[in-house]
Amino acid sequence: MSENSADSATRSAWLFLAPALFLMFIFTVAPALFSLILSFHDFKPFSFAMVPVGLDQYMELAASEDYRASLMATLQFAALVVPGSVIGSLAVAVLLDQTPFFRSIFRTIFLIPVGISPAMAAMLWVFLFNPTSGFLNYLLSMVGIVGPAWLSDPDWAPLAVSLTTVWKEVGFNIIFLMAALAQVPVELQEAAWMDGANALRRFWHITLPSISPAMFFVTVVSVIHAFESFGQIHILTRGGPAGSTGVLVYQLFRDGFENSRLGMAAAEAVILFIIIGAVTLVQFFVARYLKGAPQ
Amino acid sequence: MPVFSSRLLATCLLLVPAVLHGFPVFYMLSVSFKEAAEAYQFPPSLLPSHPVLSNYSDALHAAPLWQFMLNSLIASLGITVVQMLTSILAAYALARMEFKGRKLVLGFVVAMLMVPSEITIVPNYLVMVGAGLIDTHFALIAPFSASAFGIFLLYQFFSGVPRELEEAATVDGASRMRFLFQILVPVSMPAIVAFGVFSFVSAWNQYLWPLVVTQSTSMRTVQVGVGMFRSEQEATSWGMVMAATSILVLPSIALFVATQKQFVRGLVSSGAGVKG
Repeated sequence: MSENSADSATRSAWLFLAPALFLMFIFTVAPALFSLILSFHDFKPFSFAMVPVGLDQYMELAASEDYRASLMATLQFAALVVPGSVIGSLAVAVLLDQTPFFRSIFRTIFLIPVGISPAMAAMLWVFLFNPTSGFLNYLLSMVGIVGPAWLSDPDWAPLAVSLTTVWKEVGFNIIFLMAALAQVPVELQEAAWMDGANALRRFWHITLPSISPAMFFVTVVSVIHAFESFGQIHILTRGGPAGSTGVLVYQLFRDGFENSRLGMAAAEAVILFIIIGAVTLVQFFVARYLKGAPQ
Repeated sequence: MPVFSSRLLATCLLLVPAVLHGFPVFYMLSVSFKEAAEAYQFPPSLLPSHPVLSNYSDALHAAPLWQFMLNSLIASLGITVVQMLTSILAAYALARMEFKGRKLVLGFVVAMLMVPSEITIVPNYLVMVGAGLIDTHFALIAPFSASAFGIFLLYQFFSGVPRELEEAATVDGASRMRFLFQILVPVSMPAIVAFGVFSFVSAWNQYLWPLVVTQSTSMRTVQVGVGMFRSEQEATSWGMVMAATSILVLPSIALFVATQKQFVRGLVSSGAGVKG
């Protein structure tokens, strides 16, 4: 290939890349950098003026009771949602993998919530949570329990929001776990069965190690999803009651778009970016290790 | 036969979570046909004793549901079409052309995969306000016009298409553009459709961005519009709220059930991609 045609190949390659790269620069790279700049400024919403304030907004967040409560609410939410959706999806995926009948019907039932939005998931659940005529408290009353006022009790609202989220998220994890289960070597399973290993031992010693990369992947993605949750919370509780479900994205939304403190919202976005970036990097390196590790 | 009986047990064990999982959708439909008094009664009934359709007409009068759907359709189709075009072009260059900086661009695309959208929302909002584009379909579409996920997915697929196809085409004197759209795109349809479905469903389900860049009721998307029924719920009937939710959610459910194979394919390749 002559020097000239290599140059022309490079030129046309960049032409093909130009639209995507240009749009990503305009709508992702530049805004991300601008968020960082904005986080060091107090932004005046009407004049569009930017007053440099250095680290003040980060200091204010560090000292803020509200922000600490929001961080705690997010951690609590993640602590409820992640184990719930990972363990729940593992159980369902293993059963789906084994079932000889109606597999695709069952699978569809579990996957439907993946296709609908968090807002719709919340709308489906809001009446189930109704304290006086909701179905959830009716079920509880059948076993003699007086159900709580799910969405207006600060002790129970986090659980209600988490339950809705787990319902919506398990299907997402099931997709990945079923794909991984389909790759588990049949010979290994059969050999263990011949050796007289029972189902639980086969699961523990053969299935689980083979799908551990997928388990790790869905766990991390569940953590990231939990940190980015917003729609279902906005519909179900508006971050309340008493801030009990006011997760980080909700706090960002409130500061930026309800209280017009856009500089503050940018600082919160930077913090969220760092948290999610750290989780993603850990995921990246552990996944590499798992891939390279002998099975 | 022990294997078969244990597999039958799996089916039986699945019944309980499956019924619980399907219940919210079933109950939404049930309540949407209940008369006002029955919707509030305790203990609640599983099925409406006198099914009525009035909740649906009430819901359609209470809010411009068709307009919400039209807005969501315009935004989602717009996003899907633009993302497909930009991704196909970029993925082609990355997968099939030798050029300086290829590795760098690929690394950039992978890095873009990991950027959470919250970091861009305030500046993008300010741009839309500054340009007077709040409350337009353009504002709903523009920030999502390129997709790192789409580029990566199609890059992987294009890389796997045999080189001979391209050589045969270039010997024929076909230009790169013609090869791309007359040969590579048709043979890559499974991946392109998978990405298209994934892109459409994700766009349709967006919440935070449409919430901040639309203000008037007539510009709301399905996801944001449905929230109107949440805030009014105490004052109005649950039957109507559930009827509105049914109207707005059933198209997504139908679409998802029809395209779940493609959606799953797109998603699993993304996982494989992110895992390196």
